[in-house]
Amino acid sequence: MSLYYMVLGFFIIKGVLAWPFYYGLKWKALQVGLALALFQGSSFTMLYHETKFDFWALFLIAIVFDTAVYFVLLRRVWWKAILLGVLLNLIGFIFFIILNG
Amino acid sequence: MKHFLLGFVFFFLLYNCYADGPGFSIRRVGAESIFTFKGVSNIKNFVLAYSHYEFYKKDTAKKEFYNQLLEIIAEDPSVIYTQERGRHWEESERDFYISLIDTLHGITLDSMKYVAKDYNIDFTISGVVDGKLQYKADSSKAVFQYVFFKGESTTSVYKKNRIIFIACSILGFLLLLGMFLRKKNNQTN
Repeated sequence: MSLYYMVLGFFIIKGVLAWPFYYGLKWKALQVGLALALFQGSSFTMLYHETKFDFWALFLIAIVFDTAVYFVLLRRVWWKAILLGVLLNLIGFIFFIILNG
Repeated sequence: MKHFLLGFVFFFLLYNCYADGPGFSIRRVGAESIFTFKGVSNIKNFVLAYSHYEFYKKDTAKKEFYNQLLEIIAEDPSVIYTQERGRHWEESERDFYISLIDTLHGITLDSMKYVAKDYNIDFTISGVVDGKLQYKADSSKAVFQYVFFKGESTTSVYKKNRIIFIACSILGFLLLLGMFLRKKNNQTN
C-alpha cells in the first residue's frame, strides 16, 4: 500500500468526515485530521509489515487516542469525541486492511 | 509512585501486544528476502540450481503435499526474490536450497539449506573444489519495500522510502504535539 493513498485515505476518513461535527471550528478539524493521517497512516503500515503487533489492541488504542485528540484539541464534548473515535477508526481500519491485507 | 505503576502497566500491555499479537496477522506481508549470486560463471561443467518448497495444497500442514521446484541459476549476477506474502503455515516456503549439479552425470554433488526469512544474502562463488562449492555468503537485514506512489519501482529506493515513512510519522506526531501545546498555552494565558 502506497503512503500517498494511505495518508489521503486517512485524511478523508479522520479529517473530512469529522469536519461536519466540528463545523464551527472552521479548518481546525481538517488540521487535526491531517496530523492524525500523517502519524497513523505511516506508523500503522510499519507496525503491520515489520512487527507482530496485535492489531485488535491497536484498534482499541487508536480509538482511545483519537477520542482523546478530538476531545482535547477540538471541542470538549464527550459524545462527539467517542462517536467519532469509534466510527472513524472502524472505517479507517477496514480501509487499512482492505488495502494492506 | 502511582504514575510509575500506571506507566509500567501501560508498557507491559504494549509489550504483551507486541509479543503475542495474533490480531490481523494471518495475511501480513513481510519483508521480501533478496538473494544475489555473483561469480556463477566461475563454475565450469557444473550447474547451480535454486530450489524452494511450496505447498501443493494450501489447507493442510502435511508434509506429503510439499512440491519441490527447481530453477537453474544461469546469469551472472543473478537476483532471486523470495515470496513476499506469507501466512503462518506457509513459512516453510522460505526454506531455500542451493544445489550443485554435475551436468555430465546428472547427479547432485553438493547442497546447502538457508532459511530465507528477514535476511538478504549475497553469495560470492569462487569455484568448485572436490565436488564442493566454494562460496562466501554475506547476510544483511531485509527491509520491507515500502512505496510512496503506486507503481513505483522499489528495488533501489526502499531504504529511502522507509525513512520517508518514519519522517511522516514523526511529523504527524509533532503536529499533534504542537497543537496540544498551543492549546495549553492559550488556556493558561
